[in-house]
Amino acid sequence: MTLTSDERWDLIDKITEKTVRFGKYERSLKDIVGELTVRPATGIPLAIAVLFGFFSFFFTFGLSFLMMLLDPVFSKYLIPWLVQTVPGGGPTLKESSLLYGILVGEPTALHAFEYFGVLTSGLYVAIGVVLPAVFAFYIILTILEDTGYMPRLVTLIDTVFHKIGLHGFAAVPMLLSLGCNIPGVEATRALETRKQRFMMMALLGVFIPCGAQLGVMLAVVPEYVGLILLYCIISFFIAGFVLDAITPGRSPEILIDVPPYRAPTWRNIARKVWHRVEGFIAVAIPMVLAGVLVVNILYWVGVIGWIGSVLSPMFVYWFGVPEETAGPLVMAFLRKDVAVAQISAIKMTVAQTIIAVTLVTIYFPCLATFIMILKEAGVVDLLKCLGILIVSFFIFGGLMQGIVSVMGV
Amino acid sequence: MDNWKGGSVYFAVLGAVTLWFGCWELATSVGITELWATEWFKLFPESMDWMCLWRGIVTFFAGLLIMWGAFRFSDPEGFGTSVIGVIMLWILAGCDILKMICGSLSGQGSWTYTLYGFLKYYAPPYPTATWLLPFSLVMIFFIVSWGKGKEKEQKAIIADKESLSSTKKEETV
Repeated sequence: MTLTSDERWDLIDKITEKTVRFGKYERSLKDIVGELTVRPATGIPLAIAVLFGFFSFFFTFGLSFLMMLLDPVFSKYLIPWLVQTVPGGGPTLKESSLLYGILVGEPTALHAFEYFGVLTSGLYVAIGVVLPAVFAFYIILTILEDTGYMPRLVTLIDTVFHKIGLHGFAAVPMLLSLGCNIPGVEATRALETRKQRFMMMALLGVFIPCGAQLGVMLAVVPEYVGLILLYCIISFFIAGFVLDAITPGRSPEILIDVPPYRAPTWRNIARKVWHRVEGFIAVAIPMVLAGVLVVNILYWVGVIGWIGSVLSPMFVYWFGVPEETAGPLVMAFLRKDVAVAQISAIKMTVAQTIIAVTLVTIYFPCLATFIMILKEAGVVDLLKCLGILIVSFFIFGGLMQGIVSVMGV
Repeated sequence: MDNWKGGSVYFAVLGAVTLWFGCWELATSVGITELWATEWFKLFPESMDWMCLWRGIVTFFAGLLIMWGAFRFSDPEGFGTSVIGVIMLWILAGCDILKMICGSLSGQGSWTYTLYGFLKYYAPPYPTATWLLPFSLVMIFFIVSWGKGKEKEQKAIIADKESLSSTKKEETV
């Protein structure tokens, strides 16, 4: 049956009459709140509150609650059992066998952080510290994504990021990196140009501490985490401003679709969180264990002691930290969080601890992130990142020593 | 409409009180005033650290937005502004309550739970946002009323349209 044009229009009219209800469109409360959220006067205060809630949840649920629940598994059951069971143990590390030293570490250690064995500190850091932090981080990030708040946050901070040649989407890799730098580097694909991707990778790798590292920082220097984070954010924008000026390429404008607010479904949140945590377990946990193993071997063969003596003038005079921090800095290349944990075991003043933790933070990203940058950007950009790292490490590390001295910490 | 006038006054007062607490928290966190606590009230849920300053900023802006919106409460944008301010207050109170729940369930890393150890986390003193929470819950009534009002308006418009089209049909017949 073929319809003429008029018949078709009549049919459309009939269907519309039956299916479409006409009324005056009134903005719902969700629409109004949605609009107010992207206006600076109302949106910025709400963003400050949302980020407060974000970090509060991260610290309370991830670092306090989950860590405290998991801590007895290691400190009361697993580690004492390993210390007794693994063969070759002596009263001190020097009197123990090589295998014992690598697997269990220092038998006289008082805290799980201080053993440095693959199965003791390695497992404790990976599962007892890093995993709860990352789990809590991904829960709250997923909720923000699924409610529709993330695109609004992106819109709000677009202006700020434009000052350093990036745009609002840069907030996504930045926030993801606070969980783990690896998905953060992957998320730089959302940026338009090669210049923007390179800049973001370099800045993430140097200035954004991962969730695991934040967790350990909070355990080692809880009173100064805010100061270190503030310093990292300021350094991020200063370095970004310089990089924007010296990196060739363009920074185009973007158009973003802001969806309406929606109540998230718990099933979707559970699936997304599991998918992200699963990826983290597969990549990061073997890396932590391998990192502890490599550092233990380097320690046993004397490489760490040698690096410490070679670099000691720089550490002592330029950064004002003891030469023993060379070891954790080598470790930082494999896992930054383990490095921060190792720093906690070195006897230092409060000022030295703050500087050392800052140095580990702005040191080159961990090996997994390094590989990710290589995959995403290629060898040339990776080498450029390395150059940025070395310059930033010296400038911002030295500057931190000056700030801490001025503050009289 | 009386409800909305009452709401305007109520939220102007709540905004002013929240704003005052915000100023107090800010002053304390930067060291202008001494940290103050009683048996029932404490300014911050945590010991003095960098989060206190952040909390002070949030409380301050929450108060400002609630009050600002309350002055034009019957206007959709004014009402929305007050709602945003109240949401900020709920975020703070939610964080405080989460802290109590997590503290009571964690057993302080020992897995040994006692009734006293569990309950002590819910005992006073409570921080600012927790005290302000019950007063801010009044906003739920206005959100529901606003939604219902809009629904009624929409239904009335549809009913008008439908009666108009049925009259037209009758006239045609």
